[in-house]
Amino acid sequence: MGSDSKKVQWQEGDLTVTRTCSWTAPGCHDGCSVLYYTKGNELVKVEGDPESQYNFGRLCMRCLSAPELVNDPKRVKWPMKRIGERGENKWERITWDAAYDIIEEKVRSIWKDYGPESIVTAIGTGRNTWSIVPKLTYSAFKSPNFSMGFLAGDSCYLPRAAAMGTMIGDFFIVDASQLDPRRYDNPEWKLPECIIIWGNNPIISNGDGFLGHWIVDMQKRGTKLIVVDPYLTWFASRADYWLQLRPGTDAAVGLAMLNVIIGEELYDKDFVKDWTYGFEQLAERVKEYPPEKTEEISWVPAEKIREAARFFAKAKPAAVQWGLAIDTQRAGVSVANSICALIAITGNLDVPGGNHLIRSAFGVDRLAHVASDWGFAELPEEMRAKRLGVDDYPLFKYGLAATSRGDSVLEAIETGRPYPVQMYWMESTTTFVNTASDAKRVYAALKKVPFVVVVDPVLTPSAVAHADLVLPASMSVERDSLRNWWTPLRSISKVTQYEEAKTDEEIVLDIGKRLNPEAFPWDTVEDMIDWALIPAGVTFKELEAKTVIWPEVHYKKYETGRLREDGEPGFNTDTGMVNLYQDIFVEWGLDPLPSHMEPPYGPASTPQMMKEYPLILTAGSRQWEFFHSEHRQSATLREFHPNPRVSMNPETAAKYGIKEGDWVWIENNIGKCKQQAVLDPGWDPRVIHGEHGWWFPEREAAEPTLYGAFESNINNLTTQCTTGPTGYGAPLKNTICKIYKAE
Amino acid sequence: MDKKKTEGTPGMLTNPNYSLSDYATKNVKCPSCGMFNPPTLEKCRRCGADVPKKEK
Repeated sequence: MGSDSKKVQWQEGDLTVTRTCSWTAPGCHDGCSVLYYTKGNELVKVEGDPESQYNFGRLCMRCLSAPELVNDPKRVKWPMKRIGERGENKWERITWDAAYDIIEEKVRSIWKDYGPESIVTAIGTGRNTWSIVPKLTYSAFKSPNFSMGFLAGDSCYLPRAAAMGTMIGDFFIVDASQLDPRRYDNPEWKLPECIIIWGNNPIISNGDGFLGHWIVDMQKRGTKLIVVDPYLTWFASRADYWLQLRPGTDAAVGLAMLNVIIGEELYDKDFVKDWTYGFEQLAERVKEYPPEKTEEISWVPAEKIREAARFFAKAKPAAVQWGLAIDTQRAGVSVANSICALIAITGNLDVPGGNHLIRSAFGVDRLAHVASDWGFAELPEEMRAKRLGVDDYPLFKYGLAATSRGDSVLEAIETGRPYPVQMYWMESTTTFVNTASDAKRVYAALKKVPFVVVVDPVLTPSAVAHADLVLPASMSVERDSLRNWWTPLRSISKVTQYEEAKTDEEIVLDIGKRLNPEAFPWDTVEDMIDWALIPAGVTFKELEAKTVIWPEVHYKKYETGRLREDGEPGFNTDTGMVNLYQDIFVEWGLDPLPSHMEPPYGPASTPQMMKEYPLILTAGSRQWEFFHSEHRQSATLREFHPNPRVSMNPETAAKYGIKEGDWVWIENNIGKCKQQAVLDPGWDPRVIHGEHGWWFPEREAAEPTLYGAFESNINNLTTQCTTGPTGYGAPLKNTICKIYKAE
Repeated sequence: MDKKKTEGTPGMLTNPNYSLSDYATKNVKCPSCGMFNPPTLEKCRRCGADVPKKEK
């Protein structure tokens, strides 16, 4: 076990400097080591910790701007109860006890009249809501319905998680040397010869404990890149191969690469022989995807697919860094299956510099990780069976997160079937502004829910439109907590307090002790953190004194019995092998092999609509300045990025009479929104990109303005309830549209 | 079973919350190729070798 034993707090003049780790809010998915400079109770400055072996002193502009958001006087300061109609933005200040009294009374009333299942909770992404809100749902509210809001197809990591779970039995990440504090000097680690960056722009998004700049570090040491992306990203412009595909055709590209690798016998024959199941069936399936056929589907030249496939297969080691674009298509699970197969049959699973099979450091996942099942097992079986959406989608029922399906929650609210939703709890999610597609449909549905609570640091459009109660949430700098997704294990230290704001952990513990004290046996949040840290053998105070601790690293764990509960060699799957063919999918009525599936709207699915809506619309790429719908309050970040941008090739702009900076309507059969044109030759002339998460905190809060939440909302054009057969994955980045200049 | 040998959190398929855990823990290892098979099968799905009955 390695640890950092550096000074954790000191004075610099009148500033106190604290070495710790930052998470959201405001934030991202990472957990960089930082130095917080405080003066009394005020956060003055944030810097990247130059001694950190995680981010090496780097820090993004969002985190550097944190003081602006933390000290924003417009944050929610204390619990507020609605006194006008929903949408009027009229509130009464109340005490925490008064707020808890209202919640307790409502919950007990719903338990009695409708059953616990009529309570649904929802979170946004990032922040440790991912582990604490499930506990609130299952153990305090006694409901099975914890959800990722109305995110259609749970299209954020869960399609990939489902694919990894059934095929490989574990999560994987690119081994960028981050598993050991010696980093690039660790003699056991190997530099990847090649990395495929697939549907991801990691220097902006920094997803799930993976700092995108590690890839830059590896490029400097010689790693070559293949980038699969419809846009010429920074990485794509520096790649040996850029496969510019039509959005939503990733599975076809993956299967064509497998076609080449298997057809030319470039795969790792020993690994395939010893550790895979179903290779022959996969080999037959990929014959259906010769590169020429995939070129017709995906627009990627066949010869480029061949060259990239050969380059990847011959590189030792090699890895795939993937992103949200995998999930945001109906075939999300199939795309992930094909990529998992690419990694596996080329022998790059769990080798140094390959795709490492990863679990939480020291087994600490409560309060620290995507532990979305915390408390689920304690629910009665008949209550677990009432989880919304699982009856029609077995992969949801048996798969890898205990979430309720967002589309099914929406349908339950709209129809009252299979039962009505009486209470909706939103913890740091802006629903129709960000996660929910078909924004106006979700907005209208939430108006029907009798009791809505919003927990957030700021007053969001969702809070104004729907909340009966708003509770002020602390930001990262105001919280004692953990970061452990995936490794190393890091402490988060509280250095300031904002008005009456409470942390997610405090709020859940307070409510849990009222509603089900047996399930919340801790006196304080620190007690709860200490309990979560038991597997690591440290207390919170001890972790805080070190700030970071690193577990041991093991490679090729499938050879040594480190993956399976029975201690046998093999993968943690039903077969002990990597399932290239999935028997379990046959049992569930699903295709046991990956395949391409067209988006519901597009040139192949709806050719008759292309005359009216001739462009492919992709959306939701991350921006440097913002984390989804966050950060729009920051004057500094808005100076860099004042308005929502629709990007298009100059040729496309000229065709429609649009100039740089023009406001443009983006419209399709679902709805329309307005964004400002950016001319960018990095896009194919047939594709445009719209930004997501836009609202304008500087505008009127009350309806109908509602912070301008519908004006530039790209989710006016996307759909709910159009997932593929697995229930995972939805076409959020691959639909159609037309554009025209706004008057 | 040596749980200490496994790393970190329980693997996804051995998560007791989900029925998939049954597949990972109840299946029987083929002595020939090492693949785990459902206990109802007599022949390995992968290599066709005889699969022993699992001890109760």
